[in-house]
Amino acid sequence: MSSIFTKRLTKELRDLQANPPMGITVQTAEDDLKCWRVTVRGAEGTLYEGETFVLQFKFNNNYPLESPEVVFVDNVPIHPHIYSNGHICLSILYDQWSPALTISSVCLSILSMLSSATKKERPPDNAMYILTAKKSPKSTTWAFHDDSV
Amino acid sequence: MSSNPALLPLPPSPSPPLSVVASTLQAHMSSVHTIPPATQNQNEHRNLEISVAWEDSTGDEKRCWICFVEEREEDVSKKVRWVRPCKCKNSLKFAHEDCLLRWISEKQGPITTDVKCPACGHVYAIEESTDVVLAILTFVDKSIQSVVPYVTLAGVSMAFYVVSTTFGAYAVMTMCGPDEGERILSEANWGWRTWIGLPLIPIGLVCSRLTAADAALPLLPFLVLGNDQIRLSLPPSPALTVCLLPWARLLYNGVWATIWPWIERIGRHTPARNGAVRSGGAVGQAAVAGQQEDEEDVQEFSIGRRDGQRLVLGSLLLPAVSSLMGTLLGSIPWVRNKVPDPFHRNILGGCLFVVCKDVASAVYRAHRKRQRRTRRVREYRGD
Repeated sequence: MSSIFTKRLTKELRDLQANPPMGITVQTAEDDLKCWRVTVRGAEGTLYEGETFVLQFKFNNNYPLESPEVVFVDNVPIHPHIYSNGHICLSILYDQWSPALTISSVCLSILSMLSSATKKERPPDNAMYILTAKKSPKSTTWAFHDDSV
Repeated sequence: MSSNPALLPLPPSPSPPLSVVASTLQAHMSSVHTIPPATQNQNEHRNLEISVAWEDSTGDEKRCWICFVEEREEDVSKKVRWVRPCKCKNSLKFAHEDCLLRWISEKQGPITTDVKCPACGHVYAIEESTDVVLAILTFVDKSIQSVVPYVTLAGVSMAFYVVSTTFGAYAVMTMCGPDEGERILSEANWGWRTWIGLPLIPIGLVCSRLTAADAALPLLPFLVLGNDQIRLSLPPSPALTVCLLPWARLLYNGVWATIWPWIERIGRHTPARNGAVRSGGAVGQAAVAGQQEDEEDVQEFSIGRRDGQRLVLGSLLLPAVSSLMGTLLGSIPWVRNKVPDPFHRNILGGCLFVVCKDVASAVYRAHRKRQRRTRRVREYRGD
């Protein structure tokens, strides 16, 4: 299993470093590729223009069969689907995960989610959620009800 | 967005490249196998290639969409089986059979056996050896699996029911005394009203300590006991007493609610020691502080009262305590003459206990408040 894990993450890292999509930069890929930090830059003409955020990816040995654990660290963007503890409500990170998705495509999905925001605000249940949430967003049972992003 | 101008030769046109990325992405997310129309301009195409970096450029080269290993990278000595399991094209067309089987086991739940391609939705057709024994055992296993939660729920409910009924019978025996209790619980009188009424006794007792069931409690005994049990008589029969008790409770609570503010006022008029020693200018502050203390006090007590364990235990012990009080009352000859029936003595004993308990708790509270008001921090006498 771990050989697939290493091969695939090595390929993804190489590709991301050679052809980084706009606004996406890999900062670090440490701990035998198990923990990545990727900088994403808010797109021009959106509410997040000029802002940069750091996404932390944590992979377990079952990647790519299991989704990575993706959270915002340090500076968490204010967005209706992002909780103040950095957890992101995005279906492809949880039950809609597919091994065909890559770190690059996940970053692009999150950027697109940021770009489609019309108002900078926290989710309505933020206060409640951060009190009860576990450390990993994958322990949360997510209900996805906004298909517009 | 133009962080890498060398790699992304985007024109400085006002049209935001973001929409392109978003739409590309959407195409990628929903149906990666679809090739977007080639009619788009050069820049868009460039974008597309980047965002869907794994899209195969050659088309014929086999690449596993799970582990991303290409056929030409593979060790020729290893015999790996490639499959094309669904209608997806390009980068999602081929997979290693091993990789795909792992993905299928990952997605397969205990009940759902069908696994769909995440991109095109095609249900993977799986071949596996099967035989009659396995089929039967699988059926049995699944049946048991689906029945388990219901059986558990039924068992827990049954246990709760049996415990409640037993407690109800115990309460009847305790309150009515052995002779009358035996008569009520004798098999001849054991009808559906008993089966419903007895388990309701502990529930009713707990509810009597809450306000949530205030509307239901006064009516419940009438419904459960039925008309033929309730006869107007003096002294009231056990059935009539049980029907009247919830009303007496409401009345009693109402009396407390009326006199409580009055008791509170008495407490407030007690001169507070630290208030008296303060200079005139600080009196206003002292009054404010006193009020705050009161509020804190109220909070502290209301939490104490809602303590679940004390509430349940206290209400369930009420029959035993009532019986004890009734026995004590019975030892007084005058009471024994006036109230010959042990049931009535027990009820009286219970009521007496409740009144004593509430008075004691009010006194306790008042004293605690007074103590709080005298509280001061001692000056440090050292260096």
